[in-house]
Amino acid sequence: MSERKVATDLAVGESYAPYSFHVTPDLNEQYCYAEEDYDSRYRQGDSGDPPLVHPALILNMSNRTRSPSFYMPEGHSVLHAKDIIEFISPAYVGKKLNVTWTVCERYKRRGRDFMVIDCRVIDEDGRDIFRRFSHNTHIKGGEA
Amino acid sequence: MTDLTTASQPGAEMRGRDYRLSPARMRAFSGGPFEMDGWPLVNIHTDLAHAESCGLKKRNASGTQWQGYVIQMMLDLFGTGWLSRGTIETKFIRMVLEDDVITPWAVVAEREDLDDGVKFALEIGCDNQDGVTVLAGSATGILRGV
Repeated sequence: MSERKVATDLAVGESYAPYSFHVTPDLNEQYCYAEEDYDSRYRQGDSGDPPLVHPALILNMSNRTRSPSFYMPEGHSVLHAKDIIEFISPAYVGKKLNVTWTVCERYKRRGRDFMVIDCRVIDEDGRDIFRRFSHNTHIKGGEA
Repeated sequence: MTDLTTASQPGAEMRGRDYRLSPARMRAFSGGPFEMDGWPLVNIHTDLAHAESCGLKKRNASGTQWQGYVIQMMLDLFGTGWLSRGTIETKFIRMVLEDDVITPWAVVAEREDLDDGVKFALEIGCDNQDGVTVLAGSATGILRGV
């Protein structure tokens, strides 16, 4: 699916458009700054491998708001309620990462609608980086 | 921060360092790549007027930004191998706003001895500058070597 659809209208089984991005050293360094994390593992490779991609960069780029088809009306926003993440392989600087999102559950709690998104991140070589189940709800002006 | 070792027992507590969510770091995290035309993106994390239009009093930090602090802590405790076998479950239980100071923590909940190491289950969380827990959850990881 590639058309823009209001994010709250997707049904179980529907997907947001996939997103791909290239992790450059500059982008990785930007997230090291954002996270106040200057560990050498993000600048120097180990045992012949390139530097690691900062995990927070992948987390942020795998929020469904990154999807080209993600759309919310003005004055509305997403609230992130819960994440369950399985880390499978490290990601390396210089690689392209591909992200997919599929709605796998919808439920109501305390009068709010929640969506559970099954998100997968895979690198350009087909290596699974992580799988993430994100529970989200939505707010509109004056509600928060 | 107290180290996690293969001798650590249930109840052992570890506390990370403090992180202040400055507007500059929030823009770096949520504003898109620096080289993007029109940087930063306008959203509730980067733009006060937009945050106010959504009913917020201040810019709201992206949950994934401070979720990153507990993940940093897991890498410090377990090493980079955690990225190949670690799990984490996090609930975002309170909003975090600009200039809040966040501290991640972990407590050993369970341990399981393996042939070549120990698998730990941790209770994890983040507290704000008032000592209020804003994120709570659990994580698992393996420390190799006995």
